[in-house]
Amino acid sequence: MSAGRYAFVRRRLVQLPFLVLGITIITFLLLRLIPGNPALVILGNHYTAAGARQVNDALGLNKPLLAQYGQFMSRLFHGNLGYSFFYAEGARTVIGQHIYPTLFVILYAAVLAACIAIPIGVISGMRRNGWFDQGARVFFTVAFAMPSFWLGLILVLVFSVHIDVFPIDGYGKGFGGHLYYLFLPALTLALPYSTVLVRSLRASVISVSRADFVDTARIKGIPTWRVLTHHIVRNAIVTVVSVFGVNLAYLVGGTVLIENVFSLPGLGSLLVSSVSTRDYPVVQGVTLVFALGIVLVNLITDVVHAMLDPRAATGSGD
Amino acid sequence: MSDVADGAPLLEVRDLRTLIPTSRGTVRAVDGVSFDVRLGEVLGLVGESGSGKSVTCRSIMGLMPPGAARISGEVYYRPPGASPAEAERNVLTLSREQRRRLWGAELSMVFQDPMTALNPVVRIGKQVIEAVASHSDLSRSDAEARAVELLDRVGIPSAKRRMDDYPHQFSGGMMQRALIAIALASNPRILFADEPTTSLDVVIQDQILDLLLELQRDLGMSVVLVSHDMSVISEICDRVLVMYAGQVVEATETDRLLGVPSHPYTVALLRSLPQFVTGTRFLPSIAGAPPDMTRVGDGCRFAPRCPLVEDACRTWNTELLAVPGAPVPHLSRCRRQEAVPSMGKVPVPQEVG
Amino acid sequence: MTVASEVPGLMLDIGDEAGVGRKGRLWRRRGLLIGLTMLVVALVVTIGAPLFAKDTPTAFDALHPLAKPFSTGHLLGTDQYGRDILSRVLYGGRVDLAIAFGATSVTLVFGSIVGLVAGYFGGWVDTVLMRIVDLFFAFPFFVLVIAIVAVLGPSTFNMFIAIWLTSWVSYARIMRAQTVVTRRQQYVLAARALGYGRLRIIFRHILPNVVTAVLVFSMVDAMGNIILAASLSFLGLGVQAPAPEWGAMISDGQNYLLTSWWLALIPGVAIVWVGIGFSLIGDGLADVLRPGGE
Repeated sequence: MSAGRYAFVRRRLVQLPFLVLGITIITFLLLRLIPGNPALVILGNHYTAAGARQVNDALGLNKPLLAQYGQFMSRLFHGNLGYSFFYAEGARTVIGQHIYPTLFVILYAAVLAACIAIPIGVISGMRRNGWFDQGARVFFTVAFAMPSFWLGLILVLVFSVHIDVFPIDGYGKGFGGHLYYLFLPALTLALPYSTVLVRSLRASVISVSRADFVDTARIKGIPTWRVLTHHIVRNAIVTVVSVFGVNLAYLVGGTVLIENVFSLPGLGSLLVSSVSTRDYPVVQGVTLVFALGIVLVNLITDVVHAMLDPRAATGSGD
Repeated sequence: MSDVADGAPLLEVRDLRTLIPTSRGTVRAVDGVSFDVRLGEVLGLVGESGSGKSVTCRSIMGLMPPGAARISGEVYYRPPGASPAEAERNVLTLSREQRRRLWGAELSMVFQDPMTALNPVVRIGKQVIEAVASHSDLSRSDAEARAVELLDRVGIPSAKRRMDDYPHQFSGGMMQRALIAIALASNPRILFADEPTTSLDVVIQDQILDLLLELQRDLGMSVVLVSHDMSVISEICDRVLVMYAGQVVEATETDRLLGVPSHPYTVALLRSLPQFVTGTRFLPSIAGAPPDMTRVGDGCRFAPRCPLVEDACRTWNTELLAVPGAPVPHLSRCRRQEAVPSMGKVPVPQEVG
Repeated sequence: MTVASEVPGLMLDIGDEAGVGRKGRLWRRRGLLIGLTMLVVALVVTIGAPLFAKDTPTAFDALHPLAKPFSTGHLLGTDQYGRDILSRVLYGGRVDLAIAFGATSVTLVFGSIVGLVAGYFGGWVDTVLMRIVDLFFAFPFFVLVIAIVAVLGPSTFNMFIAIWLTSWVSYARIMRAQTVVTRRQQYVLAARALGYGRLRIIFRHILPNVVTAVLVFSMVDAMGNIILAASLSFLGLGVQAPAPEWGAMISDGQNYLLTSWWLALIPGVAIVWVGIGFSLIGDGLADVLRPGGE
């Protein structure tokens, strides 16, 4: 019976390879955008003819474009993301070493955002235009206009320096340590993200609570909290799931900045440092990883959406 | 038609008024409505959209959006076996919690559009079980069995299998049946049915009406049927209240209403029914439009559209008058009742104002 | 970077629900006015920086490094080189506001054209264009922008290029969705039945109705672009020292957070000021431009 439900997810899966292909093309082309002589740019002061040849071989810059792409793709299939000039080892290894903190912060931020957004969104929606709703709206308008790195610095100033509840930077050891050290960074990411979630949830709750089935539910004589959870929120959450997934790109972008502010050894820091050291293969590799990660998350979001809304199967697709 | 029981009023509504503030002014959606619902009867509420019939039911039930309306008046619910204290308490003043206890077990409601009246993301079975479980202590399996029983009772084939379906997998008629099952799960004494057949096609309409009548007889409950369609009302109702612009303009038994209507609006309503139109290819409509509900005041509200109107009508402080010589109670809010039977010879105004 | 949700209207949804009745509308109008005022103030002081600022943004006051706000001659204090913060904020605002207007307007026009074409002509044109758009959406915007700036080399101008290359897709999506809906409306069908030329239909019938959503979104986008520029400069990938820019100033201030916190705080306030201004204008526009009033 649930076969039909996941029909459109299957459609997404079919589209997947093309999407991935497109991503690889763009990522590949990225490197070809380098103005001038890439080897010169990469090696800088250490430029030697021999070194230049090495670079050109490694990047395959001597071959025609299509062959370059072919080389790129075949390497990709073998899990080879290129060679990091700076770290003098495979880009994949370097990336692998940096991926965990980033994952942790992003997930942490997503969870925090949900914890913040759900109660606030529901209350704002149920008591719309009340003082809570208006206050929340003002708060979030301001929060949304704040650059995340600035917000992070303020939080550090208040909570790490003056009140000294949280550590200034660093990553901590062990799961509990991570939770503690990464709370501020995750919160910084979560707040602007919550803004979009709250707005969406609020609108969703407002429109759902006007529906007839809410009255039908009340008419049964069930307790109000049950009407709220099983009927109103249960339906309102469906649209929010899409919004959640679509805006996840924001979290990824934000983590780059947050890792800088809080000195976290994650992919974001790696990206930035690689840019300054002109370590292009790493830049390319990180971009690729991020993009594929987002594609994966979007897929998961779609599945969750289908699970929550049985009508999603009936081919309305996007 | 059902057998009218001993006539003890189960529900008494006195001077119900519902005022809805809007940006354009305060809408007097229900303006002084009084009626009784008797044990075991089927009562019809008929009128155009905006006449206040739905709002009346929702106000009585307590389903108006919080803060959206100011409701005044008295509503007494007197089930057999109620204590004197319960019988004299105004339902409109009950707390949320007290009202919740009435919902489902004593008073219930079925809404117009089955598509939006069912939770789209929860299985039908669960929704029915929820209704069953809210006023009883049955075990899970017992509640489930009862739910299947209910679905079966309302005429859903393969009820047990259908429990696992989602609303969008049901047809319109089946959804409405499921809604009725939900409404009846805890054996309420009064069922308000707000346009239950309006979004269904004609064949299904009849089936649903028959079902309602059947259930009403078997369970001995009272039904308040709201509709804008006189033919629906005339099919199963014992008594009818005709509403216009927030007021009751005529009230009597159905047969009498159809035979001896005593208000010009009722006549116009009847005239627009296919089965009552003879000798013409065109369905007469009622010229003009209902009054602006933010600006009604004294005077007959139907006056602008009434073929029997006199100057005095516009300033008359309307009230329901007993129709003289009627074999059953018959009220009409027209001061020219005696002229109404002659309307058969007065042409209905045709052009639009 | 703009947070582009699937249903752009959802983000600026405040207008719809809160605006029940006259009171809500009034708030929206007031918000619009406040937002415009805030923006105008920002524009005036930054464009007219020479009038308001005491020094040029790169002038050193070697005698008073890290001066506190309200100290001698420096209303907002000085940074570690003795440069007047107020002057740097005012001059720095020029870049950020230039991005807000310059980058946004280009992406708005380009993206809208793409969306309009895709939505109006449909068929394979639509499919191809939208597939490209989807592709861009698969990347986290910020990362893409960083990557582009990385390969082109960090500079103010390259920031513009990076934004131009990536931000147009949001507009394309919005425009296309609106166009598709509008195209099916009665009045467009009527125009076609009357034999009006394509161009005329597009410009005189479809465009006025689809412009609303795009304009409203552009306000949020402008705010996002400022934050984007500030973020890039914060990372050292945008405006290069010693040119002033709000994000870069915050980065400078990071090292002095414990003692001279105003270095990092003040430029952020400027960003938030402008951001709220755009936000309010966006909400106000959404309400004012809504067809049919309340």
